[in-house]
Amino acid sequence: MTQELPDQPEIIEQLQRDREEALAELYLLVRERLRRVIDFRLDYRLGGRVSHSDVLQETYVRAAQRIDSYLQKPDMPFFVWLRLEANQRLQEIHRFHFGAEKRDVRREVKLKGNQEQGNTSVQLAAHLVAQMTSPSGVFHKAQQVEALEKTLSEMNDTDREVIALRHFEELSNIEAAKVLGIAPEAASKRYIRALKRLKEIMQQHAAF
Amino acid sequence: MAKKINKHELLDEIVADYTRRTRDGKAPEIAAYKRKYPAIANDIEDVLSSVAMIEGLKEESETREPSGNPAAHAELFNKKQIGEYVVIREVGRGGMGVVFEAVHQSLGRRVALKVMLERELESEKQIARFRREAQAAAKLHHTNIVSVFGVGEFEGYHYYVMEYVDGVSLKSAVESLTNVEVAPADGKTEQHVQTIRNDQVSTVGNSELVFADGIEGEDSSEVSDANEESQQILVPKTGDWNLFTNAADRYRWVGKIGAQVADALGYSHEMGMLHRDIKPANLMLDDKGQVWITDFGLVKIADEEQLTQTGAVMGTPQYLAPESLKGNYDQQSETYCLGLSLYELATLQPAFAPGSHAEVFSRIMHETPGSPGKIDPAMPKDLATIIEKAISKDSKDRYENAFALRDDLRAFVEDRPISARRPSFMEQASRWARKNPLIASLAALSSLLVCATAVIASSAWVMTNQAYKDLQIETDRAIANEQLALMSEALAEESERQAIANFERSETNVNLMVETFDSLFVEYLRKDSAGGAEKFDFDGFNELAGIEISIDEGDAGYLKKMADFYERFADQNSDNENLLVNAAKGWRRVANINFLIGDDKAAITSYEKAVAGYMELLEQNPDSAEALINLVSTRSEMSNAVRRDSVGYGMALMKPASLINENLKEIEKHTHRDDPQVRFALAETLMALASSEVYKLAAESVVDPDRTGDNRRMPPKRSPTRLYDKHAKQSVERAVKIADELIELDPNNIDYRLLLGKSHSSLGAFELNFGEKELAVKSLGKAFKLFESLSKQHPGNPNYQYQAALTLMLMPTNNTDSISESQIVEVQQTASSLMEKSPRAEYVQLQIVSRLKLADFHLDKAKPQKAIVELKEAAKLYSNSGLKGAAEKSMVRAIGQTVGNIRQALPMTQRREFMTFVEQQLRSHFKRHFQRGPRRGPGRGN
Repeated sequence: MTQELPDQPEIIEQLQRDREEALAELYLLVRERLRRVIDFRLDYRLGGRVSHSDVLQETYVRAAQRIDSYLQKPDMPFFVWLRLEANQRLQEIHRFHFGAEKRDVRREVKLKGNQEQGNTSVQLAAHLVAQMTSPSGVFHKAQQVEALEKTLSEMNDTDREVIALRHFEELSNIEAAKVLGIAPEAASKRYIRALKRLKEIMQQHAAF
Repeated sequence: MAKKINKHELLDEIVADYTRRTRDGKAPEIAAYKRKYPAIANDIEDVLSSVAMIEGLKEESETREPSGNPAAHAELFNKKQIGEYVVIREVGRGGMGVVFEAVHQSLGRRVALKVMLERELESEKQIARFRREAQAAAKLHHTNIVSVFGVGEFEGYHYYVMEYVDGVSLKSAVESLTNVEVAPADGKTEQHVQTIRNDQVSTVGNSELVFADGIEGEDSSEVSDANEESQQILVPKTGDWNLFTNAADRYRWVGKIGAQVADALGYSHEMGMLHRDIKPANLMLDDKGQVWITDFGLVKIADEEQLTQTGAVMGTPQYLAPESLKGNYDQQSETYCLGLSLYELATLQPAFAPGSHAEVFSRIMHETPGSPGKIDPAMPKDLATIIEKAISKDSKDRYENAFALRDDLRAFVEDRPISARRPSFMEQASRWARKNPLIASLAALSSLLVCATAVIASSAWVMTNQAYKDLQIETDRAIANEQLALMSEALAEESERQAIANFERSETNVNLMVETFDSLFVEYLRKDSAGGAEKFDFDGFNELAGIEISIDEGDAGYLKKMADFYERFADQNSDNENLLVNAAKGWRRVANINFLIGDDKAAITSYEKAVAGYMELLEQNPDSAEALINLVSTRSEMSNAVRRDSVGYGMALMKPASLINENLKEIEKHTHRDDPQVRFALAETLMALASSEVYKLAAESVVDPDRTGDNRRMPPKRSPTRLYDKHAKQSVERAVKIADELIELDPNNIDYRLLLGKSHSSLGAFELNFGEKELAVKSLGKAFKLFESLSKQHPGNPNYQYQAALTLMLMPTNNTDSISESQIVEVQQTASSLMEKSPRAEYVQLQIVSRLKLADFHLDKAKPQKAIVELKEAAKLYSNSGLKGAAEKSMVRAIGQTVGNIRQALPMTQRREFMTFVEQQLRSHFKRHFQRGPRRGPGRGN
């Protein structure tokens, strides 16, 4: 397990003190978590063309360039900020690869002004498929994944998003709340509601 | 768990706990949670089963080994035949696949088969791409590229057929060269073991045949085990390899290897094909000493697959070009990567140390690898230069393409001149400017001169040549350092064109650059002046005070060259009103440099032009204090050059004094003469005036004017000297008064405090020469205290410490209260510690002078034998000092003076013996200097 990230005030202090050195060090600590975000958000159709590591690299470069403006107004937790930078980089990549197509096929999930990548339900399923060990593994799980995809597609955007954040990006409740732009209690409430809803739909499909 | 929280929050906490345990692989039971919180058991069931489902799916997909699961492919490893190929043996395996040595069934051609593990190629798209890349690579035919024969599919496995090459990768070669003593063939050295089989196919390849990464010792030992009958040898029998005992041959070998790879790369680029992963591990050396680029058309796709599939850490990004971090990758990037490989081969260490990705990215983006020539001083300069050029951060500074790199490498191997020039001056300069403007090397200073030159060149052109007005100049406003870096040392012919291309034509920019340069230049001079050992600050203006240091010939030549550039551009600008300030400054710097390198006549000529420029500027802005001070300080510097140049007598010596007098007039009639800045200049001018008077008088009454500089030590006067006139002393007194006033205005101003200290010590020297011993001791004591307090406040600045020590040296020795033996010894220690921190000509001089001072002290106590001991020490210090020019002369005079004093103090019977000793021991050190013998001088009359 990687080292824990220090507290936010400590992070800010370190960054203010050493800038790039501190950023490089802190980035190491969140790298795996960030990779998970990128893994999840990077459009599955780009699998062969864009490597996750590239996005990680570019996110780092991007963060290094913007560290000053973050420090001027560090109104979100460090990890959430990096996640945002990663997402913006992903957005650029997606725009580059899909251009206008994105608007039609890949709906943006909008939550209180926050723009996330792609259609979360498609992404969830694709993510799972992409991670399967072998084609046979994919077949074994295909039905379940298909069911999950269906389930997710029947959920509303917010519920889907909250599950994605908590389980695929593995954010904490506080981080997820920050990303969604809502209070932690509200985020918590939505999350629990979404889990219940998921269970209901799962039962309907009876595929699990 | 707190009880007062609402149900949602409690549930969230339960879920979080459950999720965490699941992710840690602990398989928590939902029932346990339900038992613990029976009131919400149903809710728990609902939410946790959802979580279990999601995490469960995730878990399955994540529990795979990043490096593949070899067990799953056991059947593959036992294959005797793959498609049309008969497998001879497994060469190695890694995360992406397995490599076999095989023979084509019907053609008998020996090949290397790289079989991808099944999961690597899942989509049609990926398979198509795999084929496409291989097909493109198959079109490459070059003696230094491992040929690709094609791709195939067998039982769902995709494979890649390549030419079979015997040999080791350069990565292994570097490792071998690092451990020159070849260890027994076990454990760590396994990787560069060659196995020789007894059968027809005599030598089989090393396990690294085609793998970029991923084959570690473990796999290799499996390979060795699989060939038990084979006999192991440690190094391949290549001709070149045997030459490694000779360092010079090794560098040539690096050059040859590099040229071969560069040629192959250039060829592939011409064919429109990028390799995308040039690094030592992908360069193979066969048993004939030929180098091969391997894995063309394979690595890129394989890497992507690996990354996409596993998200696992790819090989360390040590061999990425900086621009590829920004998503740009082209032929030049690839040439850069070859440069990195050559760097490693030549220095036996990677240009960028391995580490985490973030670390390595940061290094690639921000750090410049250590200069190869510094890491390995034995490396031929040309090779180091080629490598440095190849791995420049900015692609504009690199070789244009692989062929250009090849040509230079060939030139190096064949001992022909190379095209690359050392860029290090510019790099040094920009780095230096960024990191520490105070620690300047002369080389960095010189390169800054080049930059300033370039700036002036650009402005000259832009301002004077309307034709260029509409020229599309790069609009990117690069930061100053980048601009510096853009300029190459080879300004001579191309500078104008380059300047136009690289610089904005704005005057502000030009001025800014010149200012930046200038402040660095002044900083440099300040540091070296340290108050001047040759004399106390008679000129007052810090910039050039007392720099009579020895400059080595190379630096002097370089400085001279820079001055020439500067001169040319200053000349071009002299007609342009807008740039008159720069032109005048340019001339001043030319003069400064000439003064530094001892060409006083050239310095005077340039000073004249600078002074003329500043006079014009002052005429244009008669109220500007700045214009006044520029003029005054330049003319003051000029008086120094004139003074030093005036070896003649009489009228020539009037000149420095008259220059200072002009300054004085200029200041007194200025509108802002009450401005502190101008008052300050006035005080310094007064001190300079006093000094110049002394020189003048000294020249009139003493035959050797050169010796007048030696007024740092004031031995007891038997009769007041007539050398110092009242006028000079009054000037100094006025300077002290002004300094006092200024300090009252601004007690913490260091410049003022320094001025006060210097004027006090100057006054003390005058008083001493007027025979006012007590007053002198008082003045010098004040000066000493001032310098001492400055030194305590700024312990990091050796200048104040130095000034304090110097003041002590001015104290008369025959007054027991003024200076004690222990104080002199303390000065000696100060001088030694200053020397240790930074060996400087002034500090050596202080060491010598303090010895001589002690000799004087002993003479006053009528202990001539003890004085002789100190004299010997001083002579020893001098002969080891390597002092040159004015500093050397000054020391010769000082030692000669002490010789004379001792001789006088000795009884007649011992004089002959002493002089014989001097003749034998010291004369050889002094050569012609000493032939002049001790002479009477103003400062050291006895």
